[in-house]
Amino acid sequence: MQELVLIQPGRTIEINTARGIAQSRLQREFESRLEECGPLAFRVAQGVLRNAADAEEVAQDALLRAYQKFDRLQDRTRFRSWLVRITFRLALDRWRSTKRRERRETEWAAPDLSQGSLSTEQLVASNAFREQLEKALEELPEKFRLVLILAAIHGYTLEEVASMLAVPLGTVKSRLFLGRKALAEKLR
Amino acid sequence: MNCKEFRRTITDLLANSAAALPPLAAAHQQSCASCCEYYASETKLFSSISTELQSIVNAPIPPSLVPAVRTQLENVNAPSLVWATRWSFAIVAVIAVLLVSFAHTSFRAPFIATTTQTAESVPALSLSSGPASSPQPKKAHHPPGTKRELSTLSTSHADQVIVLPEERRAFAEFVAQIPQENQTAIALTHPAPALPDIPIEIASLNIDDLQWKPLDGTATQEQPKSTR
Repeated sequence: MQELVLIQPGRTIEINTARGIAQSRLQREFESRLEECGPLAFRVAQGVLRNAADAEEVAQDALLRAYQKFDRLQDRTRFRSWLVRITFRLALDRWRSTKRRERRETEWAAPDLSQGSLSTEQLVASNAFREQLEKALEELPEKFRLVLILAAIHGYTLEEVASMLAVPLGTVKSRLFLGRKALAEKLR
Repeated sequence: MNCKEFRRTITDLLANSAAALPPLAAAHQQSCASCCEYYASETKLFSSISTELQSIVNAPIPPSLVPAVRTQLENVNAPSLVWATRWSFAIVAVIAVLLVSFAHTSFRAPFIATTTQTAESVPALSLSSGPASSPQPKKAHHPPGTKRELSTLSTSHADQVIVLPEERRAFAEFVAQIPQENQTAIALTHPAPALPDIPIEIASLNIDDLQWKPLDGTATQEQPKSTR
Protein backbone atom coordinates (compact mmCIF):
# COMPACT_ATOMS: atom_id res chain seq x y z
CA MET A 1 0.00 0.00 0.00
CA GLN A 2 1.36 3.32 -1.01
CA GLU A 3 1.98 5.78 1.74
CA LEU A 4 0.74 9.27 1.25
CA VAL A 5 2.82 12.18 2.50
CA LEU A 6 1.17 15.41 3.41
CA ILE A 7 3.20 18.35 2.23
CA GLN A 8 2.71 21.31 4.48
CA PRO A 9 2.94 24.72 2.86
CA GLY A 10 4.71 26.19 5.87
CA ARG A 11 7.43 23.59 5.78
CA THR A 12 9.75 25.61 3.55
CA ILE A 13 9.43 28.57 5.83
CA GLU A 14 10.33 26.38 8.79
CA ILE A 15 13.38 25.03 7.02
CA ASN A 16 14.50 28.52 6.08
CA THR A 17 13.96 29.69 9.60
CA ALA A 18 15.98 26.82 11.00
CA ARG A 19 18.70 27.50 8.51
CA GLY A 20 18.72 31.16 9.43
CA ILE A 21 18.97 30.30 13.12
CA ALA A 22 21.85 27.92 12.47
CA GLN A 23 23.58 30.49 10.37
CA SER A 24 23.24 33.22 12.95
CA ARG A 25 24.50 30.83 15.63
CA LEU A 26 27.47 30.01 13.44
CA GLN A 27 28.12 33.67 12.85
CA ARG A 28 27.94 34.45 16.56
CA GLU A 29 30.36 31.64 17.32
CA PHE A 30 32.73 32.87 14.67
CA GLU A 31 32.52 36.46 15.84
CA SER A 32 33.32 35.41 19.38
CA ARG A 33 36.58 34.00 18.06
CA LEU A 34 37.22 37.00 15.89
CA GLU A 35 38.37 39.22 18.74
CA GLU A 36 41.17 36.86 19.63
CA CYS A 37 41.98 35.35 16.25
CA GLY A 38 41.80 38.49 14.15
CA PRO A 39 44.97 39.95 15.67
CA LEU A 40 46.64 36.55 15.49
CA ALA A 41 45.93 36.32 11.77
CA PHE A 42 47.19 39.85 11.28
CA ARG A 43 50.43 39.14 13.13
CA VAL A 44 51.13 35.98 11.20
CA ALA A 45 50.56 37.86 7.97
CA GLN A 46 52.66 40.75 9.22
CA GLY A 47 55.49 38.37 10.10
CA VAL A 48 55.59 37.17 6.53
CA LEU A 49 54.80 40.36 4.65
CA ARG A 50 56.17 43.04 7.01
CA ASN A 51 53.69 45.49 5.59
CA ALA A 52 50.69 46.47 7.67
CA ALA A 53 48.34 47.22 4.77
CA ASP A 54 49.09 43.96 2.99
CA ALA A 55 48.93 42.05 6.25
CA GLU A 56 45.51 43.50 7.03
CA GLU A 57 44.18 42.51 3.64
CA VAL A 58 45.54 39.01 3.96
CA ALA A 59 44.17 38.66 7.48
CA GLN A 60 40.73 39.75 6.33
CA ASP A 61 40.85 37.35 3.44
CA ALA A 62 41.94 34.52 5.69
CA LEU A 63 39.20 35.25 8.21
CA LEU A 64 36.53 35.33 5.54
CA ARG A 65 37.75 32.06 4.08
CA ALA A 66 37.76 30.54 7.52
CA TYR A 67 34.20 31.73 8.05
CA GLN A 68 33.02 30.27 4.76
CA LYS A 69 34.34 26.87 5.74
CA PHE A 70 33.69 27.18 9.43
CA ASP A 71 30.95 24.56 9.42
CA ARG A 72 33.35 22.00 8.00
CA LEU A 73 35.67 22.35 10.98
CA GLN A 74 34.49 19.58 13.26
CA ASP A 75 36.95 20.17 16.09
CA ARG A 76 36.41 23.83 16.91
CA THR A 77 39.24 23.80 19.43
CA ARG A 78 41.63 23.66 16.50
CA PHE A 79 40.34 26.84 14.98
CA ARG A 80 43.42 28.86 15.82
CA SER A 81 45.74 26.31 14.24
CA TRP A 82 43.52 26.17 11.18
CA LEU A 83 43.40 29.94 10.85
CA VAL A 84 47.16 30.27 11.30
CA ARG A 85 47.75 27.84 8.47
CA ILE A 86 45.29 29.57 6.15
CA THR A 87 46.82 32.95 6.94
CA PHE A 88 50.37 31.74 6.53
CA ARG A 89 49.60 30.21 3.14
CA LEU A 90 47.80 33.30 1.91
CA ALA A 91 50.57 35.55 3.19
CA LEU A 92 53.20 33.47 1.44
CA ASP A 93 51.25 33.65 -1.79
CA ARG A 94 50.94 37.40 -1.47
CA TRP A 95 54.62 37.74 -0.61
CA ARG A 96 55.66 35.70 -3.64
CA SER A 97 53.51 37.71 -6.00
CA THR A 98 54.82 40.95 -4.50
CA LYS A 99 58.38 39.74 -4.93
CA ARG A 100 57.76 38.83 -8.54
CA ARG A 101 56.29 42.24 -9.20
CA GLU A 102 59.17 44.01 -7.48
CA ARG A 103 61.68 41.94 -9.39
CA ARG A 104 60.05 42.90 -12.66
CA GLU A 105 59.90 46.57 -11.76
CA THR A 106 63.39 46.96 -10.38
CA GLU A 107 65.24 44.50 -12.53
CA TRP A 108 67.51 47.18 -13.84
CA ALA A 109 68.53 48.49 -10.42
CA ALA A 110 69.23 45.77 -7.92
CA PRO A 111 69.35 47.16 -4.40
CA ASP A 112 72.69 46.79 -2.75
CA LEU A 113 71.95 45.02 0.50
CA SER A 114 75.25 43.28 0.85
CA GLN A 115 77.22 44.93 3.58
CA GLY A 116 79.70 42.19 4.19
CA SER A 117 82.39 44.63 5.20
CA LEU A 118 80.42 45.68 8.29
CA SER A 119 80.91 43.90 11.55
CA THR A 120 78.02 42.49 13.57
CA GLU A 121 78.01 45.48 15.92
CA GLN A 122 77.90 47.91 13.03
CA LEU A 123 75.11 45.91 11.43
CA VAL A 124 73.08 45.98 14.60
CA ALA A 125 73.65 49.67 14.91
CA SER A 126 72.75 50.42 11.34
CA ASN A 127 69.31 50.48 9.78
CA ALA A 128 70.41 47.81 7.36
CA PHE A 129 70.16 45.20 10.06
CA ARG A 130 66.42 44.93 9.71
CA GLU A 131 66.68 44.53 5.96
CA GLN A 132 69.31 41.87 6.43
CA LEU A 133 67.15 40.11 8.95
CA GLU A 134 64.12 40.20 6.67
CA LYS A 135 66.17 38.85 3.80
CA ALA A 136 67.55 36.08 5.98
CA LEU A 137 64.06 35.31 7.22
CA GLU A 138 62.80 34.95 3.69
CA GLU A 139 65.47 32.43 2.93
CA LEU A 140 64.51 30.21 5.83
CA PRO A 141 62.43 27.08 5.31
CA GLU A 142 58.74 27.75 5.84
CA LYS A 143 58.37 25.57 8.91
CA PHE A 144 61.19 27.42 10.71
CA ARG A 145 59.81 30.73 9.61
CA LEU A 146 56.34 30.04 10.93
CA VAL A 147 57.66 28.90 14.30
CA LEU A 148 59.87 31.98 14.60
CA ILE A 149 56.93 34.24 13.79
CA LEU A 150 54.54 32.55 16.19
CA ALA A 151 57.10 32.42 18.98
CA ALA A 152 57.78 36.11 18.55
CA ILE A 153 54.13 37.07 19.00
CA HIS A 154 53.54 38.46 22.48
CA GLY A 155 51.30 36.45 24.69
CA TYR A 156 51.81 33.01 23.21
CA THR A 157 53.90 30.42 24.97
CA LEU A 158 55.77 27.68 23.18
CA GLU A 159 53.14 25.20 24.36
CA GLU A 160 50.46 27.28 22.67
CA VAL A 161 52.56 27.49 19.54
CA ALA A 162 52.88 23.73 19.59
CA SER A 163 49.13 23.33 19.94
CA MET A 164 48.57 25.83 17.13
CA LEU A 165 50.80 23.89 14.81
CA ALA A 166 49.62 20.53 16.11
CA VAL A 167 53.18 19.39 16.67
CA PRO A 168 54.97 18.30 19.85
CA LEU A 169 56.64 20.91 22.04
CA GLY A 170 60.04 19.40 21.32
CA THR A 171 59.52 19.93 17.61
CA VAL A 172 58.71 23.57 18.19
CA LYS A 173 61.82 24.01 20.32
CA SER A 174 64.08 22.32 17.82
CA ARG A 175 62.63 24.35 14.94
CA LEU A 176 63.09 27.51 16.94
CA PHE A 177 66.67 26.60 17.77
CA LEU A 178 67.55 25.73 14.18
CA GLY A 179 65.76 28.79 12.84
CA ARG A 180 67.55 31.18 15.17
CA LYS A 181 70.88 29.55 14.47
CA ALA A 182 70.34 29.77 10.73
CA LEU A 183 69.37 33.41 11.04
CA ALA A 184 72.49 34.17 13.06
CA GLU A 185 74.68 32.43 10.53
CA LYS A 186 73.19 34.44 7.71
CA LEU A 187 73.59 37.70 9.64
CA ARG A 188 77.05 37.09 10.99
CA MET B 1 87.71 23.89 26.32
CA ASN B 2 89.31 25.56 23.34
CA CYS B 3 88.03 28.62 21.48
CA LYS B 4 86.34 26.60 18.72
CA GLU B 5 84.37 24.53 21.20
CA PHE B 6 83.52 27.62 23.21
CA ARG B 7 82.13 29.43 20.19
CA ARG B 8 80.05 26.45 19.14
CA THR B 9 78.71 26.11 22.66
CA ILE B 10 77.92 29.81 22.84
CA THR B 11 76.03 29.77 19.56
CA ASP B 12 73.99 26.75 20.60
CA LEU B 13 73.22 28.27 23.98
CA LEU B 14 72.08 31.58 22.54
CA ALA B 15 70.07 29.93 19.78
CA ASN B 16 68.38 27.92 22.48
CA SER B 17 67.66 31.08 24.47
CA ALA B 18 69.64 29.76 27.41
CA ALA B 19 70.71 32.40 29.87
CA ALA B 20 73.51 30.93 31.93
CA LEU B 21 76.85 29.71 30.65
CA PRO B 22 78.06 26.27 31.66
CA PRO B 23 81.02 26.37 34.08
CA LEU B 24 83.59 25.26 31.54
CA ALA B 25 82.51 27.89 29.05
CA ALA B 26 82.44 30.54 31.75
CA ALA B 27 85.99 29.66 32.75
CA HIS B 28 87.18 29.88 29.15
CA GLN B 29 85.45 33.20 28.68
CA GLN B 30 87.32 34.68 31.61
CA SER B 31 90.64 33.44 30.34
CA CYS B 32 90.24 34.34 26.61
CA ALA B 33 89.70 37.95 25.63
CA SER B 34 88.72 37.26 22.00
CA CYS B 35 86.14 34.71 23.11
CA CYS B 36 84.82 37.21 25.63
CA GLU B 37 84.40 39.69 22.80
CA TYR B 38 82.81 37.03 20.62
CA TYR B 39 80.39 36.17 23.37
CA ALA B 40 79.34 39.80 23.71
CA SER B 41 78.82 40.21 19.98
CA GLU B 42 76.86 36.97 19.69
CA THR B 43 74.66 37.92 22.62
CA LYS B 44 73.96 41.22 20.94
CA LEU B 45 73.24 39.53 17.62
CA PHE B 46 70.75 37.06 19.06
CA SER B 47 69.04 39.66 21.18
CA SER B 48 68.79 41.92 18.14
CA ILE B 49 67.24 39.08 16.16
CA SER B 50 64.65 38.52 18.86
CA THR B 51 63.94 42.22 19.23
CA GLU B 52 63.58 42.81 15.52
CA LEU B 53 61.38 39.76 15.06
CA GLN B 54 59.13 40.90 17.87
CA SER B 55 58.95 44.40 16.49
CA ILE B 56 58.02 43.06 13.08
CA VAL B 57 55.39 40.65 14.30
CA ASN B 58 53.88 42.71 17.10
CA ALA B 59 53.02 45.65 14.96
CA PRO B 60 49.96 47.57 16.15
CA ILE B 61 46.73 45.95 15.05
CA PRO B 62 44.82 48.15 12.64
CA PRO B 63 41.60 49.18 14.37
CA SER B 64 39.65 48.60 11.18
CA LEU B 65 40.53 44.91 10.98
CA VAL B 66 37.80 43.31 13.07
CA PRO B 67 35.01 45.74 12.12
CA ALA B 68 35.85 45.29 8.45
CA VAL B 69 35.66 41.53 8.79
CA ARG B 70 32.36 41.82 10.66
CA THR B 71 30.95 43.96 7.89
CA GLN B 72 32.08 41.52 5.25
CA LEU B 73 30.62 38.57 7.13
CA GLU B 74 27.17 39.95 6.42
CA ASN B 75 27.81 40.04 2.71
CA VAL B 76 29.53 36.69 2.44
CA ASN B 77 27.34 33.67 1.88
CA ALA B 78 26.84 31.68 5.00
CA PRO B 79 28.55 28.28 4.99
CA SER B 80 25.34 26.31 5.04
CA LEU B 81 23.89 28.35 2.20
CA VAL B 82 27.04 27.86 0.18
CA TRP B 83 26.71 24.13 0.53
CA ALA B 84 23.01 24.26 -0.26
CA THR B 85 23.78 26.18 -3.44
CA ARG B 86 26.41 23.68 -4.44
CA TRP B 87 24.11 20.73 -3.81
CA SER B 88 21.26 22.30 -5.71
CA PHE B 89 23.58 23.00 -8.61
CA ALA B 90 24.75 19.37 -8.60
CA ILE B 91 21.17 18.09 -8.51
CA VAL B 92 20.13 20.36 -11.38
CA ALA B 93 23.14 19.21 -13.40
CA VAL B 94 22.31 15.52 -12.85
CA ILE B 95 18.67 16.10 -13.83
CA ALA B 96 19.75 17.93 -16.97
CA VAL B 97 22.07 15.07 -17.97
CA LEU B 98 19.31 12.54 -17.41
CA LEU B 99 16.85 14.58 -19.47
CA VAL B 100 19.29 14.92 -22.34
CA SER B 101 20.06 11.20 -22.38
CA PHE B 102 16.35 10.34 -22.20
CA ALA B 103 15.55 12.71 -25.05
CA HIS B 104 18.36 11.26 -27.11
CA THR B 105 17.12 7.71 -26.56
CA SER B 106 13.49 8.56 -27.29
CA PHE B 107 14.50 10.38 -30.48
CA ARG B 108 16.48 7.46 -31.78
CA ALA B 109 13.84 4.77 -31.14
CA PRO B 110 11.02 6.02 -33.44
CA PHE B 111 13.54 7.06 -36.01
CA ILE B 112 14.92 3.54 -36.31
CA ALA B 113 11.41 2.09 -36.30
CA THR B 114 10.27 4.37 -39.15
CA THR B 115 13.32 3.57 -41.17
CA THR B 116 12.81 -0.14 -40.76
CA GLN B 117 9.18 0.23 -41.75
CA THR B 118 10.15 2.13 -44.89
CA ALA B 119 12.69 -0.47 -45.82
CA GLU B 120 10.12 -3.23 -45.38
CA SER B 121 7.47 -1.42 -47.43
CA VAL B 122 9.68 -1.12 -50.48
CA PRO B 123 9.15 -4.71 -51.71
CA ALA B 124 5.38 -4.20 -51.57
CA LEU B 125 5.69 -1.46 -54.13
CA SER B 126 7.91 -3.49 -56.37
CA LEU B 127 7.09 -4.31 -59.97
CA SER B 128 4.71 -6.94 -61.16
CA SER B 129 7.18 -8.37 -63.61
CA GLY B 130 10.09 -10.23 -62.20
CA PRO B 131 10.63 -11.59 -58.72
CA ALA B 132 10.49 -9.24 -55.80
CA SER B 133 13.85 -8.61 -54.43
CA SER B 134 15.02 -6.81 -51.40
CA PRO B 135 15.81 -3.21 -52.13
CA GLN B 136 19.42 -2.28 -52.36
CA PRO B 137 20.54 0.53 -50.14
CA LYS B 138 20.31 3.61 -52.23
CA LYS B 139 23.06 6.12 -52.01
CA ALA B 140 21.24 9.28 -51.10
CA HIS B 141 21.92 12.60 -52.62
CA HIS B 142 22.83 15.12 -49.98
CA PRO B 143 22.12 18.74 -50.62
CA PRO B 144 25.14 20.91 -49.90
CA GLY B 145 25.45 21.86 -46.30
CA THR B 146 23.34 19.01 -45.03
CA LYS B 147 24.95 17.25 -42.18
CA ARG B 148 24.75 13.54 -42.61
CA GLU B 149 23.73 11.92 -39.39
CA LEU B 150 22.62 8.51 -38.34
CA SER B 151 23.07 7.17 -41.84
CA THR B 152 25.49 4.48 -40.94
CA LEU B 153 24.59 0.93 -41.65
CA SER B 154 24.55 -1.09 -38.52
CA THR B 155 26.69 -4.15 -38.73
CA SER B 156 24.40 -6.13 -36.49
CA HIS B 157 21.30 -5.14 -38.49
CA ALA B 158 22.50 -5.36 -42.06
CA ASP B 159 18.98 -5.15 -43.52
CA GLN B 160 18.23 -1.84 -41.81
CA VAL B 161 19.22 1.42 -43.33
CA ILE B 162 19.04 4.55 -41.26
CA VAL B 163 18.43 7.60 -43.40
CA LEU B 164 17.53 11.21 -42.88
CA PRO B 165 13.86 12.30 -43.18
CA GLU B 166 14.43 14.11 -46.47
CA GLU B 167 16.15 11.06 -47.83
CA ARG B 168 13.17 8.96 -46.82
CA ARG B 169 10.78 11.31 -48.60
CA ALA B 170 12.88 11.32 -51.75
CA PHE B 171 13.10 7.56 -51.69
CA ALA B 172 9.31 7.23 -51.26
CA GLU B 173 8.72 9.51 -54.25
CA PHE B 174 11.15 7.49 -56.26
CA VAL B 175 9.41 4.22 -55.32
CA ALA B 176 6.02 5.71 -56.17
CA GLN B 177 7.20 6.52 -59.69
CA ILE B 178 8.64 3.09 -60.32
CA PRO B 179 5.43 1.48 -61.75
CA GLN B 180 5.23 4.19 -64.40
CA GLU B 181 8.66 3.52 -65.75
CA ASN B 182 8.75 -0.19 -66.13
CA GLN B 183 12.06 -0.64 -67.84
CA THR B 184 13.88 1.60 -65.41
CA ALA B 185 12.36 -0.24 -62.53
CA ILE B 186 13.40 -3.57 -63.88
CA ALA B 187 16.90 -2.30 -64.47
CA LEU B 188 17.12 -0.91 -60.97
CA THR B 189 15.52 -3.69 -59.00
CA HIS B 190 16.98 -6.66 -60.80
CA PRO B 191 20.50 -7.58 -60.04
CA ALA B 192 22.87 -7.55 -62.92
CA PRO B 193 23.26 -10.99 -64.57
CA ALA B 194 26.29 -12.74 -63.42
CA LEU B 195 28.58 -13.23 -66.37
CA PRO B 196 31.08 -16.03 -66.34
CA ASP B 197 34.66 -15.01 -66.44
CA ILE B 198 35.89 -15.65 -69.95
CA PRO B 199 39.58 -15.41 -70.44
CA ILE B 200 40.48 -12.87 -73.06
CA GLU B 201 43.26 -13.68 -75.41
CA ILE B 202 45.13 -10.82 -76.90
CA ALA B 203 46.95 -11.65 -80.06
CA SER B 204 48.55 -9.56 -82.68
CA LEU B 205 46.68 -8.98 -85.89
CA ASN B 206 48.53 -9.96 -89.04
CA ILE B 207 47.37 -8.71 -92.37
CA ASP B 208 49.52 -10.13 -95.05
CA ASP B 209 47.91 -8.80 -98.12
CA LEU B 210 45.72 -5.77 -98.37
CA GLN B 211 44.25 -4.84 -101.66
CA TRP B 212 42.75 -1.52 -102.39
CA LYS B 213 40.13 -1.34 -105.07
CA PRO B 214 38.95 2.01 -106.29
CA LEU B 215 35.31 2.62 -106.31
CA ASP B 216 33.57 3.15 -109.51
CA GLY B 217 34.30 6.54 -111.01
CA THR B 218 37.21 7.37 -108.67
CA ALA B 219 40.85 6.80 -109.24
CA THR B 220 43.45 6.82 -106.49
CA GLN B 221 47.20 6.74 -106.45
CA GLU B 222 47.52 5.08 -103.07
CA GLN B 223 49.71 2.16 -102.73
CA PRO B 224 48.91 -0.87 -100.65
CA LYS B 225 49.99 -0.74 -97.00
CA SER B 226 50.66 -3.44 -94.57
CA THR B 227 49.47 -2.91 -91.07
CA ARG B 228 50.85 -4.75 -88.26
